[in-house]
This record gives sequence, C-alpha cells and structure tokens, in this order.
Amino acid sequence: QKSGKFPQLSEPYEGFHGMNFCEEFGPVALAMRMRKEGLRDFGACLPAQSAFQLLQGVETLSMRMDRHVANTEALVSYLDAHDGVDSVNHPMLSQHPDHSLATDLLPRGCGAVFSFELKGGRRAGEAFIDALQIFSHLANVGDARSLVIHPASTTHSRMSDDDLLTVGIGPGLVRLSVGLEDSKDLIGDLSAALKSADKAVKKATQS
Amino acid sequence: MSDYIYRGGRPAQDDKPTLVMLHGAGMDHTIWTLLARYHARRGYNVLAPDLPAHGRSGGQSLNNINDMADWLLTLLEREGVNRPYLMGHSMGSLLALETAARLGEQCSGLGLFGSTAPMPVGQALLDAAERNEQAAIDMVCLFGHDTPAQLGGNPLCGIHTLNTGVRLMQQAADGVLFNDLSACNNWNEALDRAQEVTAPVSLILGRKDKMTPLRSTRALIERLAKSQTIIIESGHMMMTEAPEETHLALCTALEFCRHS
Repeated sequence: QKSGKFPQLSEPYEGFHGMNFCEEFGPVALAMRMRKEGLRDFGACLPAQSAFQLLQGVETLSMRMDRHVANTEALVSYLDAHDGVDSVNHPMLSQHPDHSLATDLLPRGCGAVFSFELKGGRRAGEAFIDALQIFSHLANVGDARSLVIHPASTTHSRMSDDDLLTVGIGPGLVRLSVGLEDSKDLIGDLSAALKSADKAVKKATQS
Repeated sequence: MSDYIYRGGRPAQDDKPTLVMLHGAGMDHTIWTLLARYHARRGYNVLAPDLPAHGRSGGQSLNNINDMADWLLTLLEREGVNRPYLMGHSMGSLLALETAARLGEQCSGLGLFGSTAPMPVGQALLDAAERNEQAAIDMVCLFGHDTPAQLGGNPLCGIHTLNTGVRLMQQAADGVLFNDLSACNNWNEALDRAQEVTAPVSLILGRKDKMTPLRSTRALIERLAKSQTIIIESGHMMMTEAPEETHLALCTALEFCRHS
C-alpha cells in the first residue's frame, strides 16, 4: 500500500461502492478482491457435483498413492531387469544418485513418475509407444490411468540426439506416469511393447 | 495522534444505536470486517477502532487495560456515542469489560468473544514477544486456531486464516504485541470489575479455544449479573475460523441485550 503501486487494492474502488480493499481486509486484500470480482462478474461458484468429486479425490488420495507406489515399484523392478532397457531412473534403485536421500526423506515411496532409456534410440521409442495398449500417450502426469511419452519423437522431436543429451534426455528415453491399473496388466503391456521395439530396431538394422 | 475508526462502509447517523468492536492483541479492525459491514447495514452505527499503534492508528501502544479504557472513553465521547453496545475479542474483551464497568447503566450490552478472566499469558510467549520474535506471532496463531484452520481449512476458498493472522500480526510495530499481552496478563481486576457490570453480557466462546479455554471461564460467568454463554465450534480466532457461527452469535447477543 505504501508503494502506491497497487491502486486496485489501496484506493477506493467504484465497482464496490468505493471500497478500499486494503482498509477492509488487511493482509487478505488481494485474495478478497480476486474472489469478489469473480463472484460479482460471473458468479463463480463450485458446482455441487464438482465439490463432491474434489472431496472424494482428496479423501481417497492416501489409498491411491499406496497403489501408485506399489505399481511403480513393480514396474521399476521389471524394467530394471529387462534386456531391452538400458537404464531406469528411479530413486528406489540403489544405483540412483539420490537413493539414500530418497530412502531417508521418502520412506513410503518416491512417487509414480519416472523415466527409462530404451536400447535402440528414437526408432525403438516410437515403436514402443505405438505398441502400448493400456498406457495412454499423453504429455501430462499424475492421472489415475497410466500415461507414457517419448520426448525424442514428440515434445523434443526437433532436437538432434546430441542436443537432447545435453539436456539429459537420451534418444530412447521414455517417461511413465504409473496409474492405478493392475500391475500385471501394466507389465504385460510393457513386455509386448518392448518386443515390438526390439523387432522394429532389428528390422531397421537389416534393411 | 490519529485514531482510525472503521465504520463498516457506512457514515454515522444520529438516530442509530452504536456497536463498538474492539480487536485483540496485535490485531486490528480487519478481524471485524464482515460483522461490521453486516450490522452497519442493519440499524447500527459501527465503530471498530484500531487501538493506538495498531493497524491504521498512530500513537504509542498502551500496556494496560485501564489506559486503554481511558483512551476508548475519550474516543467515544469525541464521537458523541451514547449507550454503546461493546463487543471485544480476546484482549479487546477485557477492554470492553472494563469500559462497561465504568459506563454502568450507560452501556447497552456487552459481548465477550474468546474471553476469560483473569487472562494469564504464558512466560515463553511473553518473552518471545518482548524480544519481538516471530516465534511470538507463531505461538499466538498456532495456539489461537483449532486443527482445521491449522491445516488450511476455511469456508472461504483461497483464504488461509492462520497465515492471514500471521501476516496481520507481522504488520504491528515492535513492542505492540508485548504491550498487549502484558496488558492481558497483568490485569488483576477483571473479576472485580465483572461484578460491577450491569449490562447484559453474552460470552461467545470457542469449544476448542486453547488461549482462553472454555473451562477457565466459570469464575467470570459467576460474577456477571446477567449473562448468557454461546459456544462455537472453533478455536480462539472465531471471527475468521467460524465466521457464519460467529455472525449468528453476535446477532443472538444483540437480541439478548434488547430483551434483557
């Protein structure tokens, strides 16, 4: 208020009969202005159904996290032991640089988003994504359903392999956001896609 | 020296009764905004002053309830107020109690929010406040709010009442909180003065209040000639923790005054 830089908050506002938000609400002036403006202009109010879903989401979060973490651990173990996978980046693995820190700070699991490097580069990545049936090909994370993306053929497709490596992305890097499905189904899906990736790479080398 | 008075967004009118709202330690008029605006539009002149050195008021902060009452009576006289209804929260409730005792029949009614008497303050809190440490503010806000508010719960989306309290108290100048807490801690005449109050009194108390606990209010209630108790499901900071319930309690308190 003393700076005079925020007259919308510190001077009378005609739209609210000359209300000075700083004077009325002190530290919450900005929050109240944002709220009241929306309420007045378009009646912003959470619908009952949305409120119900929001509450149910929050109230079941801890149960869902247990499942996210358990599924992730199963997938990480599977991929880490697979011949078609170069490396897996997850702090639960002892070779990860933050393993001891994660054990200390996140003893109940390190979340459900991680990446791994496929053998076979971009070609393998593309074939792998195309073959997946359960994982949805999406750029977002944290869904109840499992999501996957291959940066080298999507978000970062315009970068050369060398440029990708300078920002820490390998040409065969795949990011997973593990959902709530049965982990056996997820592993089955990954297994089939890894076979397809292997075939695609062999075919490319032969031709 | 300038005294700031918040009037709920309406100018004073001669023919209306006056509702005085007194904030607690380290706070200012903004804790009363919603209640003040409501009653300023429903038949009252509302005066929610910032005590000296609080909020928008100048001057030196006062370190005892008697000096605060002197200041308030001067302010009421200057404003030409007759037969006010006095509402106070926490420290403000002690100020309201003392002022009501002095006004006698000239006080129309009294509302004590988050109150008890005497009102001792823990030594650790007093020490931290004397050193102007953030710890003092943290203690007041942590003890002052019940668990849901500590976790960020609030009926108003986007408003975190505990952090709002922290920010509000951080705006107070050095020494203000210590003087306020000392005033609460050192006022030994509370129970004697309570016996001198003739106006009807409503105690609006939080069931989960850890600063002025419900069980500590018995001695005060026994000494009040005409009183009713309204219990709210909240901690000490009921105006922000449970605004709707506190609003209804204030309406009930005013009703009690009119019919006693």
